[in-house]
Amino acid sequence: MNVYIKEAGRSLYANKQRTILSLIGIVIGIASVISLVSIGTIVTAESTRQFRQLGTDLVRLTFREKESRSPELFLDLISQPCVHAVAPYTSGNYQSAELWDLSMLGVTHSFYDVTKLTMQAGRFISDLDDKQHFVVIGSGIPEALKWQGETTNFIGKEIVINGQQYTIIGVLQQTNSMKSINLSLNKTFFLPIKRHLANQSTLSISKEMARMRSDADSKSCARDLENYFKIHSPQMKVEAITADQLIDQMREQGEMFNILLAAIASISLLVGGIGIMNIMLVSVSERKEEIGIRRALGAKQKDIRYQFLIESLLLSIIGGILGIGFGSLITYITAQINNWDFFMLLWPMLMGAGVSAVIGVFFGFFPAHQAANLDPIVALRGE
Amino acid sequence: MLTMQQITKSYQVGPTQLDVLTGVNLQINQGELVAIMGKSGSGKSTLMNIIGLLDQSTSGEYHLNQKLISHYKDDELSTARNEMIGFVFQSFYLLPRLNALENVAIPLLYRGLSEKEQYQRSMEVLEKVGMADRAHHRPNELSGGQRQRVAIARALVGKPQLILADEPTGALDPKVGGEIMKLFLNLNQQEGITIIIITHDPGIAELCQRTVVIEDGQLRDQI
Repeated sequence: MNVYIKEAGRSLYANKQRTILSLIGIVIGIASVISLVSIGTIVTAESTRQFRQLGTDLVRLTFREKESRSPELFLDLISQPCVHAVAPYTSGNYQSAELWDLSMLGVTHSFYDVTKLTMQAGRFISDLDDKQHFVVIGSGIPEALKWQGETTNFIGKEIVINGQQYTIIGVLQQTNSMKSINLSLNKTFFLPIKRHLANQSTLSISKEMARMRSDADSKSCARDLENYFKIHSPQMKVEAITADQLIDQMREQGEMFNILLAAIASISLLVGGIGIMNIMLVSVSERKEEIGIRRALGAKQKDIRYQFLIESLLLSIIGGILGIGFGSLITYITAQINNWDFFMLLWPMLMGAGVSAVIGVFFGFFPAHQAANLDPIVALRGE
Repeated sequence: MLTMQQITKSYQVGPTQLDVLTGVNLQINQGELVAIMGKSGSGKSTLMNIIGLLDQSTSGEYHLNQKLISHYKDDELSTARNEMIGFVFQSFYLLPRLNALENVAIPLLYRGLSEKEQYQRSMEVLEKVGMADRAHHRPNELSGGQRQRVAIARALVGKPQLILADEPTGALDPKVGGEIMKLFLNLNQQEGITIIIITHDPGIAELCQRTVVIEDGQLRDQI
């Protein structure tokens, strides 16, 4: 057995160029499976982590049809025993062609606590602000508008938003919270909710966030909140989703996506395997004379078969190891670029190693069988 | 030690049957040095392949070392080749990637001996053919005569009953060829090894104790 491996290694080394070319195929195959699956897993973990940052006590309510413009209806949700804070909000666009990524939210003071914001300067929207033309800006706004100078200098500054003049009363610290539910709070203007509603008669309150008490059961709480609206505003359609449910949805999507990625990457593995078979067939036909010599000297068919099988197995295992290395490297680099926590799961690597061995045997079998079945006399003639 | 009775070999080529051997009778005794001569197309190669267990006859009986070979299966033929026959070819047929020692060891590899024992015994036969100092050279670093000596060492290493040499001097210049023949004669006379040399060179045949001529698929003339 040792001799076979030694001999296989020698044969692969003797045909370096061919060996490297066929290795490339299998390395790409294994590396793409490993990296896609690993990156997919990291992405899922990353978004789950972001959702956890929201806090698992978060409930997000979405309203459709016959929406209401009365903040009180939504603020009174606090009467439900399972919640300790609620924050309804309205959302709108900042009308500017260049600054399309800025947005506007109409909020109450409770938004500050529910989304865990902190101030850099000034104060947040108060419920006493009513319909005042006050605005609080996210930390990214000054940069987006190319303002120079100290943050504190912006307080009291006048600014025109969608044709209306506002006074800046506060600047927020940078925050990552809510990023995962598509609220980029750093690039947002916060207005008093009543001001926002007064600006636009077509605007209504379409979303609300609530924080549950720590002892509350999230499923029954979500149901209680839906029931509250069924009683007080029966025509409105309400959907309450807890952070746990969002995380689960996310994870399920992530898993589906991973399976899809793995399936796509498997195609390149198949191509790599066919590459190995091709190389082995070439190797067999180039080494007919050697096969004939070995047969004449007493090699049985199974000896020849093993020789070529081990050669393709060795080829694919080397390819597998390199592929795992490259796949991990690609995953590492991708994680670094995107600022994700890098980790490698064991199972894709084991799977990669196993799959490459299977490829070696599977795609090596036909060429090895051909080699073993050569007539020694024909083989000796080297034709 | 080798008897052939009414050995025939036919090939089916399309609709016609091609009879290459049409009834060969041959007896070779232990310790003989026999030349088989014949023109190309005379069935010489086919006879050699059958003697060397690389091919099976269509009919007839072939005993080698008191064993009836004619109905052996492929694996049994492999084992019999490995144990009973040492091949020497016109173009040496050494494996280019292996050094002399490793080439010589191949028959022992298929006998399942340990690597240590393989190399020990291979070194002994390399000494016998005067190639011990070239044991770690690859074939492309050796001259034609040296390569043939390594090939002879490979034929000897398994201690076979029979050495079958197919035009062993055919690819060598006459002087080197003469040395190789001297080596065969020595092995035959001093060690009593049975040797069959297939050749078309009457000069070589003269050196052998007996010459057998094959013509039109039969052995015509036994001297």
